[in-house]
Amino acid sequence: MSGAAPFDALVVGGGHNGLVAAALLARAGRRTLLLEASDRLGGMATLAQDCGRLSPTVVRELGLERCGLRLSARAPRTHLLLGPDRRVTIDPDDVAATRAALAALSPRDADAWPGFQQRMARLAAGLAPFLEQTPPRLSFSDWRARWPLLKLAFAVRRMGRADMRDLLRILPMNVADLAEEVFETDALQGLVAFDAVLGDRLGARSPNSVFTLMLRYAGGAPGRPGTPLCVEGGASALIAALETAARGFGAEIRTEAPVARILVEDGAAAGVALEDGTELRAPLVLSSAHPGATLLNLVGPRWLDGDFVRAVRLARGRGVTARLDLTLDGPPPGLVDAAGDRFVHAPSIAMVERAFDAMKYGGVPQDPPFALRLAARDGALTASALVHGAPHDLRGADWAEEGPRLAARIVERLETHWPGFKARVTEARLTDPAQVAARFGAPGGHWHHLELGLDQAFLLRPVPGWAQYATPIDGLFLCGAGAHPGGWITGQPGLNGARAALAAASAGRARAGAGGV
Amino acid sequence: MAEIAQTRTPLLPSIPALERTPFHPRLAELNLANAWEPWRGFVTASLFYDVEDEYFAVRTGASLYDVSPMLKYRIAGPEAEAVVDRLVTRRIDRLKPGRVAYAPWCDGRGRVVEEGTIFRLSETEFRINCAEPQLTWFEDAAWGFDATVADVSQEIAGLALQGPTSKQVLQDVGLDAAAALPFFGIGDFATADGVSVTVSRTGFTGDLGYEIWVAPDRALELWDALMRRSEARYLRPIGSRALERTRIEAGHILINVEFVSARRAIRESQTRTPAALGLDWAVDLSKDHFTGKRALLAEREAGGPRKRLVGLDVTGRKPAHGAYLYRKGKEVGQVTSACWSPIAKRNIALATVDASAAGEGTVLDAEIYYRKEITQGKTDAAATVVPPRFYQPAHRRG
Amino acid sequence: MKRYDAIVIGAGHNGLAAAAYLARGGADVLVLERREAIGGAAISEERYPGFTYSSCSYVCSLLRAEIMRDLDLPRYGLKIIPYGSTACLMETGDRLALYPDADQTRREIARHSLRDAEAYEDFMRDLTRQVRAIRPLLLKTPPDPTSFKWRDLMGMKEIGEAFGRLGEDALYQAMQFWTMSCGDFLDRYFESDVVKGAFAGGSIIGTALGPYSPGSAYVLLHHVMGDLDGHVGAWGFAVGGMGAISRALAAAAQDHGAEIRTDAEVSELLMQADQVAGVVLADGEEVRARTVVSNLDVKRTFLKIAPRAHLPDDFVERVAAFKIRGSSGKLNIALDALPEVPAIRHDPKLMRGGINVGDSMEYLERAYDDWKNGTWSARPYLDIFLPSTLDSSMAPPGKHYMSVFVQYAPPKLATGPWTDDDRDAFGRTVIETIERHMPGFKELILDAWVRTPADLEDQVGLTEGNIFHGELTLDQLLFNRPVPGYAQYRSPIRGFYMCGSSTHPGGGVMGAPGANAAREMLGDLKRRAA
Repeated sequence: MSGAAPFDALVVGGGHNGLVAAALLARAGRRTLLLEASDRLGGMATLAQDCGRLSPTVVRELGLERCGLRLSARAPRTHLLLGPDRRVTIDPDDVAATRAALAALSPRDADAWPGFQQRMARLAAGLAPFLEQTPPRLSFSDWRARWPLLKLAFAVRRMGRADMRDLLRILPMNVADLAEEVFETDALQGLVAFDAVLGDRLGARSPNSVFTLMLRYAGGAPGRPGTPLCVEGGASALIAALETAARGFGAEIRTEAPVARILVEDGAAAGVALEDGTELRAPLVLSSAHPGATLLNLVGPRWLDGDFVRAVRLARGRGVTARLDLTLDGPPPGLVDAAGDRFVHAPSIAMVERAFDAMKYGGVPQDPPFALRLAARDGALTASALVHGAPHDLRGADWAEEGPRLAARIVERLETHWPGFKARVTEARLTDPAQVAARFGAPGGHWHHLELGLDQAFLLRPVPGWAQYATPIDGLFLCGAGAHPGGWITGQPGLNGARAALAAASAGRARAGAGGV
Repeated sequence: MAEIAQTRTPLLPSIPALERTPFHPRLAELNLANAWEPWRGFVTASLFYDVEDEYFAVRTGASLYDVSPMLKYRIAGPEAEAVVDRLVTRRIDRLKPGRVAYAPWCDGRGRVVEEGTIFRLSETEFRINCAEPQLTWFEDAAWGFDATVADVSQEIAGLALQGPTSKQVLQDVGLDAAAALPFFGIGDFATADGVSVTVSRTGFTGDLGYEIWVAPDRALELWDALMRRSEARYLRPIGSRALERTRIEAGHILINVEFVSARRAIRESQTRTPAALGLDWAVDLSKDHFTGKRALLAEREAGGPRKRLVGLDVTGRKPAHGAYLYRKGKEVGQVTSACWSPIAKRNIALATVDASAAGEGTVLDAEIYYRKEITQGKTDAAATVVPPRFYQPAHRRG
Repeated sequence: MKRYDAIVIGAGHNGLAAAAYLARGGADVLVLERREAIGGAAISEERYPGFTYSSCSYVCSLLRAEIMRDLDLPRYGLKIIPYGSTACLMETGDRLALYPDADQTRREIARHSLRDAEAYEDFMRDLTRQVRAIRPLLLKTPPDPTSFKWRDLMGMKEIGEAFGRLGEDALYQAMQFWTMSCGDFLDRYFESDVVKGAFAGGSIIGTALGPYSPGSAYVLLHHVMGDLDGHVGAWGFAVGGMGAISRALAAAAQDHGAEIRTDAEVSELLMQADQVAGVVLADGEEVRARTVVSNLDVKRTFLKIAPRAHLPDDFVERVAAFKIRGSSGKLNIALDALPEVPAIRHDPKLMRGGINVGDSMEYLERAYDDWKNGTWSARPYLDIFLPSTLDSSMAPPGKHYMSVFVQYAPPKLATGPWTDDDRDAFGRTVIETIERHMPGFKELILDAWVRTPADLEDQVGLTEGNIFHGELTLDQLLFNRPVPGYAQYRSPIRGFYMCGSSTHPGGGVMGAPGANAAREMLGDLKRRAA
């Protein structure tokens, strides 16, 4: 059975990357259909607290500001939770106040903070060429193959000698060492460590965690390097704008249309089959779903080389992040105008590391670090916390039991920081990695689909040798968080994936090269 | 001067350094030369008494070679056919139960991982015989399919019965039906003494021959039965040295000699695609996807492999072991296996040469080094490229 | 007053190697050693009558064959013989033995997992590929990637080519090797806990990393990088103990005309304008030289000896931030007889090799957790050798010397500095751990010399007791070692060099830093003479 409408391109998954890809394809004149399994768009972006790392290129290319996206000039404040009613506030827009607040902890650290922000932003800018473009292949066979690699080498050298040395040294380091080098107070060390590990299976003392920290500083507000972009209305506003953009370019969007299989004919993508049996045909298929789910489940091993299947299976992606949603019946005591602000409980490196220690062995930490955000929605106040303390691979327990316990512990912890908080909570709901896996079809429940370590970044993402968005199936491209440059709400994988697909299609060669792993 | 200190434990371990095959007791009795060599952790015979006698037994009588150390894998299940079909380069859906196929299998870059014989025992069960361990490779190949992979090497002992009189040898022990197997056929049989065996009409010598597979605990009974009329049938146990000559004559490639597995190669330049090994005939690029297909299609589009395996007919009598090959003064390749063929009365070799020098009839200059009493001698010989099949008697398929 | 061409501060094996190379190159060399004996951490000591302890380092696999040959060390009595094997003792009473012979190892692994026996071959192939690319870099001065000097560009090209030869697949693998945790890396190959544990042991020795810390895969490589008689990854034992290596290096140096003075502690550098002019000893004596090279770790060198006023601030900051973390202890034990080890009784060859305790990744990782929490591992990883089974001169007839390397022990405890009671308790933990695997072992103990990281710092001069003079993590390797921009053995002070394990290619009784530094110094001396 064949679907009625003929399409040039199908996009699997209506997360933000899928929407970016669909919009871009439609803008290029391709008749595009986006298929989302659930009843609403957004995918895992609906779990995110902000879109601070959204690529400015995506905003510009898709004209998102014309589609209702409102970028705010105000960067969110971060409050360090340091004990009963003890908070230290970092306000990127108010340097003097931040300095004064930090000086109460340590004058030395108050001095060091702005310099550290600038340093990270500068180094992240140095990484930008790596993050924004499609990774080259690591082949030195001829000058055509060598050229993109050389260009990257030159890009790094343009940073200047001191920054390049700094980058080469700290990139593989662990964030604890870096934080201890720069700061002396536990509170700032803890914040930096938490920012580095949140979302990944890392501890403060895990090498590579400086790399993940640096990714926080990539992208963001134009003209203000390192400052997160502030989207009014957060992720849901972004998704709405992306939907408007995609539809505006002529893309068709269907929700509640779960894809069961990607159709392969003679080694090339031919379309998809939906779970209800409908077959939709198109020469280009882009998947923003998890690479493993896409290749192993939707395509299936029959069409793939055995060693490639192995490489996909080996890609690491067991999530450790949970989201706690709290409904409040009124503002917690003593809180004025804090909607959009971030409250971070990560008082020291040691506690961030202890949380990881528990998770290493499949346990849930007693006192995990988390970041809380308040939001006013429809007159009611809600709060959400991203918790670094929920291993997908629980040992000897299950999330049905552990989830509520973890939620209760976090509420108790909030109560100690914020006497009177608990009484305001009317409902607490934890989304654990098992639920993430089930709801978003991402085996392992990892927020970035695949862990974002150096060993799974750039040329090595999602698997070594296949970082160019193409897959071994002609006409099938990846465009989700599992592809370079990975997770968080950047839109970059969607952008790059769509560009790769368009380039391949217009070059008349859906064939992406006969490499293997 | 330091000495090895006295210890309270004995000098030698209480476990054997090498395992013995189920046939070992008989082999040990017959091995007058006491010449053994290791084969993947097993001890096997290099020769028994006289390598010439063993060789001519293969070519004019019959021979028994203990192939028990070969690795055997069972792939079974509803989707076993799909697994094997995606694994190897030939069409397996066309392989009927009771038939055997020889095929290489490749990695994603189209480089040969290993080659072996594939027994289709039933619709849903295969057995693959090969020389190097493949359990992880096969398990990976079966991932996502409804099929299981098991290493059954230890459960099955094997003998290669090869030579023009091997048919009579089988008949002597009541395996008439097995003797009548077609070329590359396989079946289950029982000897007159009631030993259950699986017999395949396969072999490594290029001659008429069979491989007989038996449970280890019945191995010696089978041996004794087969050897009962050894004098009448000119049946000899043979060692690896006699076998080596016959396999070069037959033009069979050997892993770690003609090629190194893509999984084991330290240097990428040492790996080979099937076409480079002259196995084009065993690759079906029109079949459904198999591992390496995209790379092999690309190789074909690019004009084929840059190197090829060829046979060489070399002048003179000095075996061209490891000889460098030149064409118009330029080095174009190297000999991988060589021997004097006593049956073809030729000086033969297998070599890997640049594709441009692989055309049949091309004459290359071979630089042969050989032992000249106490010095090394060097001689130049002409080596003509020929198909690597030096001895193919008609009775092989008959 | 005499003026030397070069003064070497510290007579560790790298200082002695540097001295030997310098003297061989025609320089007039003086080696100054604080202690009464030469050798640093490569030393043999008789602490208990009749027993020779390799009291710090205890094996050498990394000592480069090129250095043995250049300095003709066998002529000075150095004999290095291979250890036969490594046996990992399991908590179940079983064992996993790794032999030099691949076939034997495969069969041994197959006892635990048939799959892993095969994966072992994949694993060794991948290690061998990487080692082949890295090994040529060991005896080279690392190029500075930020420099546009011809020499540095050529050096980068050389590195590029060494790795380029690997081919695309192996290059991706190299990237993973340098960034992955040992645990994740081993998970890609193996399924059996003990197989992973046995290999992971090599990745934690001497480092303050757990097997699941990213970057630890490289240390795995560092430990198989060596070779002995052409066997990759083979471990060697020096007849007469590790001091024999230092003695041979010293003899070679002296034969080429170098002077060696012990009990001569250097307290500071003698400066002339912005250039080094010699050293001042603790007793006030001044010794003049054109160049000075320090065998001490980078912190001791620049935070204690070099004049602060002559060092740029950012350099000093980097040195202070250089990570030298003590993580290991050492027990030297005199035994009345050879202990019984039931798990390996079947093969006496295993008694003549390494015997490890720590049979799974989790065992090792938990041992590491203790270190992070500021205490020694309650269940430590042990690397045990019985040198007297190979060399009867190490112990009286019938008796045995046991060397026990212990991972992990912190340089400072959470409760404060190490006390005598702590040391005793640490020693007891180790001895009880051994007793579990070698019943009756305790009864055989004649003497047990327990050394904590703090002891190694105080007695041997290793900062924090770190055996490698600094962590072997990517941020501290190659052109980052010890400080970016100063990886070519020169320091910010003209005429002052480094030759210890804080420099490329790092720790282990390898001699490469000494040889490399000497080569740089000889070049500079020649240029200055010209």
